[in-house]
Amino acid sequence: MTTEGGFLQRSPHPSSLYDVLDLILDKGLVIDLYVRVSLVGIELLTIDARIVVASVDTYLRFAEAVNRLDIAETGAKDLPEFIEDLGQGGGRGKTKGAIEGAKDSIKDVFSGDEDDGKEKASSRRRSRSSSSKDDEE
Amino acid sequence: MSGESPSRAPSMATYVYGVVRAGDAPNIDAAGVGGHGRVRNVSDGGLTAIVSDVEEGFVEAGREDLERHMAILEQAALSATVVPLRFGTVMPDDDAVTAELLRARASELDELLAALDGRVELSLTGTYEERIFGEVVDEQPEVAALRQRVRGRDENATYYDRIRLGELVANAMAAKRQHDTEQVLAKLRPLADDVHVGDVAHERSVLSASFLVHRDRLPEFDRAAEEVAAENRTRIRFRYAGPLPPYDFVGGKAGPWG
Repeated sequence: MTTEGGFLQRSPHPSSLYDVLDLILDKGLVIDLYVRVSLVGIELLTIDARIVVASVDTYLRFAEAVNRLDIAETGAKDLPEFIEDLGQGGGRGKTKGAIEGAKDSIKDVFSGDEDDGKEKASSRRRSRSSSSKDDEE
Repeated sequence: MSGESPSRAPSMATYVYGVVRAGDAPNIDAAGVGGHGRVRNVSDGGLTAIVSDVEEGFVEAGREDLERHMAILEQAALSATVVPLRFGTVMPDDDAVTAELLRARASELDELLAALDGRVELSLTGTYEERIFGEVVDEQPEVAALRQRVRGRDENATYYDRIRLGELVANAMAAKRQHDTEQVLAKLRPLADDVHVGDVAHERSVLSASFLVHRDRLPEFDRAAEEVAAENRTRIRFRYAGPLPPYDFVGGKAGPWG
């Protein structure tokens, strides 16, 4: 579905589940009292995916990313490497960034059967209870 | 959803996808959310709701339901201007759809359909490439200095320096994000009738924006988006989806009905 037209990654509709969630959830006209389908597990995951930017974890990840660079040695922009990047679909795989991490966890939930998925989602919630933004059940 | 077929007929309710003008009402041949009913139309006055049967008390939604909801609205949007409803909207029956949606909110729906007429949504998200960190080091002497200080040293000994380093990087990224978002919007906003800028989803996100664009201007918008991506090709990866139903341009009008 995704086509590479020039430098834009195009698709007729969102291609990853993360993008689908981002596009659809919490959007659209609301008829009060009638949003009846429960999406507890999915909503939780979108919250999980929205990594809180200003956290010590983020700072340490950023510090690591900066330290990993060999700027003085290679220069910030290395053209052959960049072209190779494009061929491979970009920076994917270089870092296990938050988007990839979030997608993984969403995949976890949807890959098994439903009950399994829900169980994972709720155990995930418990295991994250010490981190940010933990809503009450 | 589940593999078991129900042995007794469950009582059904009506799942609502969106509303179109009756004259544009599409005939969509597809299974609905929940997998039990086919998509059909409920009309009243000049308005048509696109609906399907769904089990009453249906609460479990998975990825395929999200995708069905999206696909059905996209199909409707091919031939009609659609007001998408929020995913998961279930009304007790067709009469409730007629009374509480099509009639009770007729004037609001008319206004929305007029405002959206001939327009589609385009979604653009940008994420910084990892090399953005190189830009930060080049531009921020304090970051460069701190980086020199912690590189190759023991992680525990440099814990607080690394936090400080990361914080400086985060601040620099926030400034870049703001600047780059302004640049992108300056280029694309003039071609759109409305713009919705969403929350930043992730720490390397630049922006997540939706544009309401008239179909006549799609080629022009497309070229401008391509230019934005080309200008930033070494530093930002852009994903572009559409044309889509205008998910982001109907929500603000939710009224106190119900």
